[in-house]
Amino acid sequence: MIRDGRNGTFPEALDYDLVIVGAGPAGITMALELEATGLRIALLESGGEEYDDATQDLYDGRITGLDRTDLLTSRLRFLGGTSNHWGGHCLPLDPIDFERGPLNGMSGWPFPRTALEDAYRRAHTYCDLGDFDYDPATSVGTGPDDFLLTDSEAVDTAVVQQSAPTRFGPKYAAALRRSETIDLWLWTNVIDIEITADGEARSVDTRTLTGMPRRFAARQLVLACGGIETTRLMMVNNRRNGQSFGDAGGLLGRCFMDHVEGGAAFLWLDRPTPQKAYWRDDIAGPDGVTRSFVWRISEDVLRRDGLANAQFYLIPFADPAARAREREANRGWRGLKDMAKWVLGRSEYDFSFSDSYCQAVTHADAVALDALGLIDRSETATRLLLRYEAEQQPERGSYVGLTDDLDALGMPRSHLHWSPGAADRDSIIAAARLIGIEAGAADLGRLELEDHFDQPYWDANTAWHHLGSTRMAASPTSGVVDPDCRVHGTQNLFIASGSVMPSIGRANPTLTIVALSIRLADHLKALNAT
Amino acid sequence: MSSRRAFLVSLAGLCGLGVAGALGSLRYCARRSTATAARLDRLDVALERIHAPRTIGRAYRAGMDEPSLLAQLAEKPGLASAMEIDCPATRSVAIAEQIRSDFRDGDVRIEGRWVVSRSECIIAALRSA
Repeated sequence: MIRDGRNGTFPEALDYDLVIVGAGPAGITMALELEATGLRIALLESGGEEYDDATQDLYDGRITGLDRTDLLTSRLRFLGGTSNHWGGHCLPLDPIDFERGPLNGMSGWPFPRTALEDAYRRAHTYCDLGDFDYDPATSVGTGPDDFLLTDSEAVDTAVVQQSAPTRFGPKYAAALRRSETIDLWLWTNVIDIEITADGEARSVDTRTLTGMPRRFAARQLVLACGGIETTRLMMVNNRRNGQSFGDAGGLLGRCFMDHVEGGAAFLWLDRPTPQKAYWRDDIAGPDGVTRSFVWRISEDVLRRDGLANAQFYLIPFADPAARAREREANRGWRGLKDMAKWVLGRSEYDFSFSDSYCQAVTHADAVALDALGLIDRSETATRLLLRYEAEQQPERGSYVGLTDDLDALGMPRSHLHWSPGAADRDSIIAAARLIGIEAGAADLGRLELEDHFDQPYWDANTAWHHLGSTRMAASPTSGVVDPDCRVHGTQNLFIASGSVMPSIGRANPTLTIVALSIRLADHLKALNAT
Repeated sequence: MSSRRAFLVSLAGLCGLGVAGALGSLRYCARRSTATAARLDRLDVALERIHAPRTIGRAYRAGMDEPSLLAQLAEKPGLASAMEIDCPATRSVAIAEQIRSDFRDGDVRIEGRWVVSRSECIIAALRSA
């Protein structure tokens, strides 16, 4: 059932079995996973079913450090959350991301990838993906000739699956509306969490922007309102109530990570190269789901060289001379066509005979060459831009904090200090160098590194992935949540978000966030069964 | 002796001293073996595949003299033997194989932002002199 929190006819105090804060991919997935258990679930959403300026403004905040990121537009605060402008790239983290900890010695994932395998498969369904198959060889209509560096020791081709992309709000609104056990409360903002001194989370206090207060009590609480907002809520709550739940190691808000992205290098090809799988957008798996292809450094070499994980998109650039001839021919043809239409009385716009005549005569040679088939119009590339998306290492100096400014609900706004380090940069350069070596050994071409690596933050950009600021660790002094995503020091407060990721690999995180939500739902099912 | 004759004798003497001095100073200049120098251009085919041979050559050459570069060249058997090959096609294959071998062995440098083999660096440095 969907309820409007602004409606004063509903009670101001309600009891549920479970309260989930946030109706984005994590919150919606968790509610639907638990629907069949019969638990009475309140799913609280700050916004409505559509975008709203006043609600969105609650996300505004301050940015320092690498300021090519954003708090106000990178996230969306209405039903479906940030999936409403999600790009749809899906892939799981690699096994190595779980096997080894961060390169700087901080703790890593407390379980292997096999512990998430089943949840990943189920997450595929929520994200409108097909088979859990990331083998490039199973792609339909491709062969070995469609890939580059196939025999390389250091460089692998990896698959990224493309979700529709799923907009979790529109996609699952009907299921939520007809549910008898899930109440989706719209326009309902959490402003306080009541946690007893011995760590029992009892209720959340909410308020609408119209001033309507409401209290939701539950046996279990899950924060699923996005990486930064979940962190902010925890920090505000601890500060207001003089508590320090999840912060025994001073790590609440710390170790914020995003995937750093930008141009790493140009690969100048030895010979013009026809279309390859990496820059085609029409390749699918056997299930019909579109796939794109990237290069990554093999796990053996990542281990051997102590490199962070990264993936490289290959963006083709054509031979400038061929493209120039093609443009000249196009202009000549256009001039001829416009004159022909004018003669036939079919001009579609203000026709200028002199302009068209001039175009046709000036480019007559290119038109003649094109007519004879001597201009190469094939999609051949002479160089490739390697655009990286790289793992950032967790560092305390990259963090989510609070400002002194208050939002419309009286809550301190977020302060994001994003600060990728020199080690992150050096790892990207080392990975690009490895690609350069493999390309040289395979007679593919020569690699030219981009010229921005000595600039501050080396011209890097955000991927809008807000991760790591409530990191998972078995020890309360090494993380904020335990391996079951329960906030350390509490009995029944959980987090379903990318913020629990202690390391982030190369993978776009949405699939992992949904999988973590499913895994937490399984844990709650087991808890409630006992 | 007329002053004219004295001037000419002095001028001739000065010229002689100048020539002798110039020849003497040449003793201290590094000399390229004529045979090696003549054959270096046989390696130019390697430079066709790198896009900035001068940049790479100058960057690699920094602080290195020519004898040192020639010594490095001699340590690359593929290059040394390529200089003895008269057939351009066969020579090109030998050079390419040496470069591939460098890449496979990880004997690779980043010079002027380019990821290139040591052999390419050596040739570019010698040819950018």
